[in-house]
Amino acid sequence: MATITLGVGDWAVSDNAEDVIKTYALGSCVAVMIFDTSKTIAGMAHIALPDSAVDPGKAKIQPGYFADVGVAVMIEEMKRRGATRAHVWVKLAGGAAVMDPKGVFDIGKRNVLAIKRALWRSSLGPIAEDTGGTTSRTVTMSAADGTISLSAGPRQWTI
Amino acid sequence: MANTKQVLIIDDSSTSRMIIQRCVEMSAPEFGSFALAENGMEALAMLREGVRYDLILTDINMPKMDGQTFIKLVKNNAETRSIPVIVISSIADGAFVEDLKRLGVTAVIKKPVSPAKILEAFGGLS
Amino acid sequence: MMENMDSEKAHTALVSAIQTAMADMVFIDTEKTDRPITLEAENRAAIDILKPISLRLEVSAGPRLRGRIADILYGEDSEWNRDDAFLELLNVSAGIFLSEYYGAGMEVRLELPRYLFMRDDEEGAAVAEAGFDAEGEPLVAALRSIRYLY
Repeated sequence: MATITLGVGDWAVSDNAEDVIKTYALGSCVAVMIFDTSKTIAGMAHIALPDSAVDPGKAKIQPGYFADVGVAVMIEEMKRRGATRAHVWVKLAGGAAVMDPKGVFDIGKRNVLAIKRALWRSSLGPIAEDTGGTTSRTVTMSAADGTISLSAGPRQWTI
Repeated sequence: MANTKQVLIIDDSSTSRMIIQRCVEMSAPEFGSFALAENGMEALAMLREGVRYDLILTDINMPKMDGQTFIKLVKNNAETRSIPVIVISSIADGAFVEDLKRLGVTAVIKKPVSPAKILEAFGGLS
Repeated sequence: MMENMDSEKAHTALVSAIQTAMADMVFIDTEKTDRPITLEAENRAAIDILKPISLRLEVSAGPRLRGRIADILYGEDSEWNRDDAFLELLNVSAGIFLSEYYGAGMEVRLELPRYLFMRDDEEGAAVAEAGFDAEGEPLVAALRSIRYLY
């Protein structure tokens, strides 16, 4: 079994049933998880910011950092491996409200909304989500069946 | 398309019809064929054409014929009464939901609709 | 009837309704703002609440926000898309407002949403009003008393 660990701005797609994709301490970041039930292909992206316009250079090197480009890039890879819209589901986790030094807006909420916009553009939408609040979530996704496990401290749950 | 279920979506808002169709496509892909109507009268005319629908998704507040009148007519007709009806409306609270269920409505979704709400409501379909 | 309305509760319910509708239907983060709002070439849409109280919910936004709403939902902006999408947003907002203010179980009735093209001389006082910043674009919502003359 291989654990693929994602950092902030990373994304991964796996069609190996023995793989597990994991990302830690999401905070205001959001994990977008897509699973194709027919081909058993799992994808996860750890999105940090809503809009790549703030740093187009970074978006080119690390598209998974931004909702508007990261979601599309991961979807493209899943399609390339044979995933089809009729067989995928999408789930989201993260987007917690954290201390924003500028106090301008809730970046977690903005991330969730920007991801939903990007998904909608690709004719997708989440069937479940565990977002908001103040909990910093750690997420694990099984590439075998798409099972998503969340944890925060001693607490564990699934969506 | 073989084995594709047919849905009749009734709403006076073209935006709402579009959103509903896309949400169904996202969460219930077995429903792959869609017919759209702007109000209850138009929907009745489409039902009379003889197409066999597997599901009706209807708004309530519509001009010409509202959703409740349409549902009563559908459920009083031997040819259409077995078609499951789910209401998607901006008003979906308490006693109103109970009234609709007494008319034979399977589920009531409060707008805005989403893939998650569709999945939950469709869970009650046999 | 208006004397029975809790204006502070109505204001809270109004703000929540707009924020929820904008987020859940159109995926735009909408924050209440106390900054004065100037709308250019505004489009004002209204929906009348008939039961349990006679009230009008109005929402106004400029062309850029309405265009963005249409673009997000449809993937393209057009006059038809903008007009219909904004009215449906108002319809959804009204339903959420009524749930928030009255809770579940209250019998409610709504008219169909429509655009207002001129200010009515008999327009009622605002029961609640709020300005919003929808990711950089202004939006205004108001609840007004209305009288029906039969």
